[in-house]
Parts: sequence; C-alpha cells; structure tokens
Amino acid sequence: MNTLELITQYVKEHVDNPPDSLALESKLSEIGLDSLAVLEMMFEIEEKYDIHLPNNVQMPETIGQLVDLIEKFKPLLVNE
Amino acid sequence: MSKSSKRRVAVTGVGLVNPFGGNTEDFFDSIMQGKSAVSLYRHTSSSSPIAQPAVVCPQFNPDQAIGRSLSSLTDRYSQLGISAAFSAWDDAGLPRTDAGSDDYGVSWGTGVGGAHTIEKGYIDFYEHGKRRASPLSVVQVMTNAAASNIAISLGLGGSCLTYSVACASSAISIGEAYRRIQMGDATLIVAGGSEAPLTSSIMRAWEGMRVIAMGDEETAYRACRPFQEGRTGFVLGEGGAALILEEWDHAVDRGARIYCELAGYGQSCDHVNLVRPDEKGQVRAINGALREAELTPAEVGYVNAHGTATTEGDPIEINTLKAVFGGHAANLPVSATKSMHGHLLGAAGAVEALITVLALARQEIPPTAHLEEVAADCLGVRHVMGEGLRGMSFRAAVTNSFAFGGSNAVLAFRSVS
Repeated sequence: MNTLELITQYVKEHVDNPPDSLALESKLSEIGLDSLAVLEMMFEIEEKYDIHLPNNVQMPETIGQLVDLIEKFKPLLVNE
Repeated sequence: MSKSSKRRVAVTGVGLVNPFGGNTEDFFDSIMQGKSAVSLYRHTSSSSPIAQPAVVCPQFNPDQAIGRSLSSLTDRYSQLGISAAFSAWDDAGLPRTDAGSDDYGVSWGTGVGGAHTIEKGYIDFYEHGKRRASPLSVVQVMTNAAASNIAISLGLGGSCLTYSVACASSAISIGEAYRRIQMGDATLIVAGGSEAPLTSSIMRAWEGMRVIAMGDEETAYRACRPFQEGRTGFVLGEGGAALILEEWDHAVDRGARIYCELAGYGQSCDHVNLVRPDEKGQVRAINGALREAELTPAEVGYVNAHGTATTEGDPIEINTLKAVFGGHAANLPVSATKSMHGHLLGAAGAVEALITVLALARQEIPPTAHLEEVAADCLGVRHVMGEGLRGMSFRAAVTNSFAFGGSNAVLAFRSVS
C-alpha cells in the first residue's frame, strides 16, 4: 500500500461522508480533518511506517502536502 | 438575589445511553419491570484479566450515535456523554443545527474522565514498550472533554463547566446549572454526566475496596441488592444521561413540552470521613432541597435513593430519610435503581435524576430490583419491591446522591400541574 492509499484508507475509517477518492489538491479541513485529526493521522502513519517526523515540521494543509511530508521522511529511515 | 426574583427552571428534555437498547421510554419501561442490565463482564485486554458483574452498553455504536469524525477523536466517556446530550436535545424539540445560543451552556459531571485513554496509554508504555503517546491523549483524557464537545457540536456559547465530585458529580452539575438559570446567567443548559469506568485498573481499584458485589454468569444479574438482608455492594456501570434545563418562560414561549420543574437543590458536606457517610450531612442536603422547593415532607411521593447496597451506606440513608420525613417515612415510596443500571459513579446522579423526572411525569415509581427481604437495619420506609408502582398520584420527587468525600447533593422536582 502506498502513502496515498494509506491516507485514503485512514480517511474512510475516520471521517463522516468521506469522498470516494482523494485528490492531491484536496484540503484536509474540507475533508473533515481539523488540526487535531491531522495530528492523530500523522501519528498513526508514523507508527505504521515506524518513522518519527520532526516536531518542527510545517503542518500540511492538503493531501498532496501530507503525502510529500511522509515520502520525504520514509527514505531517511530506510537509509539509516 | 431575593427568592422571589429567582427564575423558575423547567425540565424540557431527557436523554441517555440505554444499556438495554432502545429509547428513554423503553429504558423506563424496563426498570419498571425490575429488569436488570447487569451481567458478568470480562475485561481481558490487559495482562491481568478480570471479571465482575457490571453494566455495559453493548448496543451503543459511537460512529452512529455521534458521527465517525467525532468518535475518532474522543474517549468512550465523551462518546457516551455526547450521545446522551444529543438525545436530550432532540427530546426537547431543538434542531441539531443553528439552534445554539450564547445564552445556552453545558454543565457536566464525571468522576474520572477519559479512563480508557489513560489505561491504553499505560498499557502501551509499560506492557508494549512504546515510547510515544497519541497526540489526542490530553484532549481525550481531560475531564471537560465531554462538555466541550457538546458545546462545540450544538453551538452553546455560555458557560461550559465540568464538576468532578465523585459519585455526586452529575447531581451537582444539574444543581449548579439550576442555580445559573435561576440567577439569570443562562436561559438553557444541557446538564448531565457520563462515565466509562470499565477499565481493568478501575475495576481492580473498586474491587480492592471490597464494595463490589460478586457473581457468576448465572447470578450476576442480581448481584446488586440495595437494602436486602445480606447485600454485598454495587456493580459498576458505564453510560451517560442528560437533562435540558430551561428558564420557565423561555420554555413556555417556544412551546416546549415541560416534564416537570426542578424546584430545589441541596448540597452539603459531611465533614466527617472520606468514605463513611454521615446522617447529619445527608439530612442537611435533603432539607435544603425541600426548603427551597417549598415542599413539606408529606408532599414528596418518591425518593430515588443513592442506595449503593453497601452494608454501611444503606442503613445510614434510611436513617436519614426517617429523620427528614418523620411520620411520613413509613409511607414514602423509596427505591434504589442502581440494582438495575449499576453505579455510574460520576454519571449516577444524572441517570437517577432522569429516572426521577420520568417517574414524576408518568406518575410511576420503579422498584429496587432483587429486594426480597428488607434488612432489619433498612426498615422504616415503603420499599418498592418486585414490579414498579403504577397509577400513582404524587406532586414531588427527590433524588439523593451521596459521594465519597462526604459531598451530598439532592435534587427536588415538582410536577407541572
């Protein structure tokens, strides 16, 4: 499962009336994810990939930004 | 503020999470028949499994009740509370959207708050060796989480307060909401409480105090037997209950159905012992509620007792009732409904207030289930045994909540007519 699929599955399981598919430009707040919900989703994805995003990362506002953030740190872990 | 200038307070909505399933009326019908929601509950999700007679709400589906987005962000105690508040709001004839106001508030009670989140965190740390906690931990555990989520969901911009006074928490949250409306600080308040105490550590803690009634698969349903000879204590229960309290004229102006009037609230502290109740403190609380409601003892037609079925607590409450009600005590119908819905700790006062409201509105009095032989030290009132009493005619009803710590809260309701 790639990162976008993982996010899509999370959204389907955690928000009311989730969209059938997620566009990269979709705003997280418009999907029904407020800042707390985004934090929790990031935490669960970190657990899943066994990665640890730095505390000072810019909070993503769109699906695309979230995907980029996760992808950016996944290879780092693999290289460690 | 002088007494005459205090505003009257109507009860215009009731709601709860029902351990039997169904709606609030179904719940009342069940307890009128003396049905017990108690069963043997096995907690197996820690390394130290435990089984106790307890009340769970197996049909409660948080995703359906409050929506998936909200249930994903909340502890079970909040989910139970938000659901109960929504039910009461609906029952009061208020639409879910655009019906909120900055003159409306929330007054909530809980003893523990987000206990399931706390326990999960500790199990993650100490059993699974995790080194990080969910970012939702704080907002799920905090004791005002349920109240705040109710205010956010319904658009209530007035005071949003949570009281944690052990087993009197939600009787006090209802009483203090009553005070705010009386004094003109709010026109409507969602008042109640919720608790989700069926975690391994909380079950162990109560077991350690030797106040939990034991039972097996066959006997668990009748484990909690208030006032009964040989009683052994209470059973824990999860749930939530809420009342919509409303300034009288506000309720009348919008054509709301009024169940009854919340007419008196008495609060006191025993100041004697943390766990041993004291008759004098309890008497002060009941007398305070009756005095404010301008009720004579003979006008009270039902007392929903605190009645936890402990060997020490039950006779003290009966002595209190005999002291307050004097010659009327012997004819005063009394029941302890914890025998059926369990002890909801910080939510107990709210569910018992709801039962008292419905008893008064329907003129029906639920029984103390499983009470067959009244203990000698609990004689002196009219214990309601077997099925409930129907076709009654009474003007007022009282509910007692007597907490560890010696904090007592009594609510007096008066019928509309």
